[in-house]
Amino acid sequence: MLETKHLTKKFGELQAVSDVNLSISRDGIHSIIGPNGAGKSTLFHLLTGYLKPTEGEIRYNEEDITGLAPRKIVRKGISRSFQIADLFEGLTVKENLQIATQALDEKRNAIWMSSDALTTTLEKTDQLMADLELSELSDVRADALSHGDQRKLEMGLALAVEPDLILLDEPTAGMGKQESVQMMNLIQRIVNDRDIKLILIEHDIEMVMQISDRITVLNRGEILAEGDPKEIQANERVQEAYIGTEGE
Amino acid sequence: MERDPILSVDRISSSYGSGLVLEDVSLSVKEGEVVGLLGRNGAGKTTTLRSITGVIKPLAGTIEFDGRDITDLPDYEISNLGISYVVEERAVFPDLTVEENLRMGGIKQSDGIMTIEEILEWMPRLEERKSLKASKLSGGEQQMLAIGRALRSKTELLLLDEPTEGLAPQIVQDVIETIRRIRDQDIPILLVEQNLNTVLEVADRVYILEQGRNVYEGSVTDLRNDDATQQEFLGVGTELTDKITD
Amino acid sequence: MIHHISLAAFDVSTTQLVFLLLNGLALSMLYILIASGFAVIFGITDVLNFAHGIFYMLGAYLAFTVVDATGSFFVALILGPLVVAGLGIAVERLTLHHIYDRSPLYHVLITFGVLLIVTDVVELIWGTGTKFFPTPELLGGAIAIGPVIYPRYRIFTIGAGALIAFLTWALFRYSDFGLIVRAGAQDKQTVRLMGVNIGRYYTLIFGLGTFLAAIAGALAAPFLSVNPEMGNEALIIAFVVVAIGGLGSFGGSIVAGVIVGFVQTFTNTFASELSGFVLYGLLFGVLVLKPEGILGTYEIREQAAKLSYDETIKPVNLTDRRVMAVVGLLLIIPFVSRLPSVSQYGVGLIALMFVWGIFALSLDTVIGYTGLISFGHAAFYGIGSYAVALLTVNFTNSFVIALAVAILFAAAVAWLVGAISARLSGLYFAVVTFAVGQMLYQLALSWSSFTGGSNGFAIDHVMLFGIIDLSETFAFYYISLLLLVSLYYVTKRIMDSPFGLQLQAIRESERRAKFVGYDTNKAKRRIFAISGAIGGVAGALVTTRQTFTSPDSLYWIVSGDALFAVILGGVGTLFGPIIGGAVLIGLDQLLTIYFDQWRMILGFVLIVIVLFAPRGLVSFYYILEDALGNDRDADPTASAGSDADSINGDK
Repeated sequence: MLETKHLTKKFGELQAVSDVNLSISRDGIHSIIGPNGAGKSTLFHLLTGYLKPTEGEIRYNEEDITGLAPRKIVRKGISRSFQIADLFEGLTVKENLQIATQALDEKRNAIWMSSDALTTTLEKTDQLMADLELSELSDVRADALSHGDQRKLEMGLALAVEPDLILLDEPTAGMGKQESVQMMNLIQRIVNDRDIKLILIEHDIEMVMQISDRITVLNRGEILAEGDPKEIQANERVQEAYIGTEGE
Repeated sequence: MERDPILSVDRISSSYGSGLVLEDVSLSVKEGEVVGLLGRNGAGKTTTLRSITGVIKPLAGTIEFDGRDITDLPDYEISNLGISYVVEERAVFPDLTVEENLRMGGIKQSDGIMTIEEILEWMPRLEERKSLKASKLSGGEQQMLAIGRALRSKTELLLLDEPTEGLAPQIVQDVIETIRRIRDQDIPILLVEQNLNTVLEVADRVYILEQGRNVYEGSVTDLRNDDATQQEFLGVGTELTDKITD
Repeated sequence: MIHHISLAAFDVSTTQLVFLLLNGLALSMLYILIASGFAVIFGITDVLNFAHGIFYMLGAYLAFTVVDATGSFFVALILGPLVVAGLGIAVERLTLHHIYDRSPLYHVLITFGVLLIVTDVVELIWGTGTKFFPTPELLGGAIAIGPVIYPRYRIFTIGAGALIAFLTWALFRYSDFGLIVRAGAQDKQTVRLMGVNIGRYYTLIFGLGTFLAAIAGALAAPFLSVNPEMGNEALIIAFVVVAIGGLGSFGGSIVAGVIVGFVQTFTNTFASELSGFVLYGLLFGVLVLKPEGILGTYEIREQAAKLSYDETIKPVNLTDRRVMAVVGLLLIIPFVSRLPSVSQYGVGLIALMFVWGIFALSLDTVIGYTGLISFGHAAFYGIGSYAVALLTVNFTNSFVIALAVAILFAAAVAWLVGAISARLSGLYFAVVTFAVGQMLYQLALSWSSFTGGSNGFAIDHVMLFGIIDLSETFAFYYISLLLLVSLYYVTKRIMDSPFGLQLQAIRESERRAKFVGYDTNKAKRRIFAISGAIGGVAGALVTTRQTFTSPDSLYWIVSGDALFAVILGGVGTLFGPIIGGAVLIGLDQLLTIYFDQWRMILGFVLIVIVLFAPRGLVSFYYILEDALGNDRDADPTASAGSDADSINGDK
């Protein structure tokens, strides 16, 4: 479904992502893990057009999408969330999701009609709010939401554009254990219901092992290992570089 | 011998705009002691350090340093009292040279524990690169520079936020070695870590936070032998439980 | 081309070339001095200081007075700038210091307010005439340099300029002060963690920037004339040089100062008809080729504060019934007034208030809804004005045709401006729009065969349907009211549309808007065209009423006033800016009857509004309503706010 070849991004001397060859299939949840600074977020930036790669190419459903602008990549069916929520802060939850949903409508640029006349958009917005358990907060400004609800809305903005592939960058960042588990359950449910392929960056190893079908471990911009959770757990290089020797 | 605490944090609560991040967090650091502060991402470790250093003001509770209430002091005055803080993102000044970064450390406090020469002697990688801009350094070098810069300023207590995060194993060892050498100079350290092993290697005592609250306090020896606590709060252990399914 | 000409000249006369090079050098030094203080302040504090030119002018006037009193030029050269620096420090402490965390729009407006005040203070003390500033005796006469005889004072200027630029550079490069402010420009929080009270350094930087401005003014005084216009000239030079060099880059302003100085000198000599365009031509070239400037970087240090609503202050809710009540009242006003002489004046004034309401409305669509700080809206106002004037003189005096042409031209130019600057955001955007506006102003000044030059020209009465004379007060009143009300509803409808929602998304987070699939650059071009069209209507109306146009309609002060009106009324509410525009022009016209220095009063009003009521007059109304104990639930916006609170409280 998604493939990269020799994907490389340099910032001056620093190789944030170097020679990454990924091949991600349509089925299951694919997680990308690695310590801070391993290049996970940079990889997402490259895949979604936020950064242009220094070298290499990205193919999505056999099509070359390297260097396309973010809005064009979204139209191909790839959307993403950010690690630090990037919301339309001064607008309400409903307006946030309405803006994102409306982006799919062919009348999105219309100037001589009320935005509330796009009934399909409004219905989809309401449905999405319900799915995200945000309906009660519909008229609350995004910057007045609790941290957990902001994370949900962040994901909602990515879901609203009806992607086939969604990239979530630490959707549970800053949440407690309990809340994280609930969030992850919510994510899994939505992704299954809507048949969306999920690529996940996540910090919590335990959670990753639990829900992923495939895992890629990045370290200092390079792929250190790739495999199913069992293989990753058994991989000595991963143990050494990332998880650390255990127990003692 | 029971030593006096140089830092006492007493039931502080803090927040960023919406929602409480810390609730009634207490901890203390005694003279000459290395204290580890552990917890998952988002448990409130960094917020604790930011509250101590005055970057954010706690909504409730008190913080005493060296017998003095510093809860309401501005951040720069707290720094001038001798609390040095190495933040998680390293925060070296990218467009200043290595040497200028070090100069910034002691810009208001000439009584740092080391001179620039001593720091450069101690960290030879930086000596070679002292005229380069900090943005040209590798992650490990930037971390060493951030620690070195902190040592240039008056340091009666050092706060380190995840100093080994994202570094290669070899460099992690260098950083741990550096922490040991600072400890050997009798400078108390409050060390925030996600990596249990780093803490087990250098700390005397440990606190664990979970969702902004204290959940564990004990000596390193106790924690080392306490697999249950390790699993419950830090998510490490030899086997993975299936509690995710909830 | 210039290179070629200078070589040809070399064959003719070595003397001439040396003379030109020295002139170029002197001018470069002056430009560097003017620009560097501006660059220093912007580079460290992110404040675009519109009062820079005024501090430069104050430096010149103070030097003049000190020389008058003491007879010593050198005392004046130090004393004057020190006084001005003190003033700069006071301004920073009293105003900017408290609002660094707000949108840069407010910083711009504070400095604009300072400009209004100091301009009048200078006029009050020194009058409006040009002062003759004698060349200091020691530096009088000329000396021989190689084959040329060159004025000694200019040599002194070259030396002094180079020395000051060098000292400033060294201060930043080597001193602790310089190290701290450079570090602070990268990361304020970390600097505070080094024990530094960075706020104090911001104040000092503002003092240093104004000191540099004033010393440039004092140095320039003996060979340029000292007059109230010199401040504006310097401001524009500072803007253009800094934009060419790279916003906030001290080195960039030096490189750009040299380039502009030499190009200007050679153009003055070999192609004097183009000399007014050198600044803008170079700027335009840079903006097209490398929008961030020669030595500028595209890196944005910290996300500038957004201009979204402050949740705690809600503007009053404007229902259609309230609008109708107000419009009904306005419809009968002309009939109620009995005294013909008074009513003529009053009705005319209210009509002018409508026009400024339209103009402020046009700016609000860009600033309040899209979050783009346009500092060049005078361009569209002026185009509207000239379109009507030129059409009436050359073709037809039909209002309908003239208005259509005005709208078309203003929209087309606005679309282009939007296209050029769409890539930019925040203050870069303000700088580019400012430059485009000034470029058109320069064009109107210079292309006198077409535009009548600086005096402008008068036109015939413009007729509606061939029978109604629109220069007549009552007819004009009603046509303006009609256009104001229609444009308000048109704009409101556009802002309620899917496109309008998209604009608000851009204001809140352009990045996110892109990531949900919007073509944000296209949206910016379109809203600029719409905004320009509405601005063009305002300009067209003014000219219709006054049967006259001049380059003043394109001058950047008009853009500043429009921004003032938007903030005064209440940014992002459409009707707020209409009220703001009306009140501003109303105050303007009334105060001018009683006070000579009325702009000064407006300056104070602006600063007070920015500091204490940033949501403008429409929030006053709400605060008042609240204080009178009206039922809060009657206002739907208020109940939404309290909902949010209770939900938060539960968490």
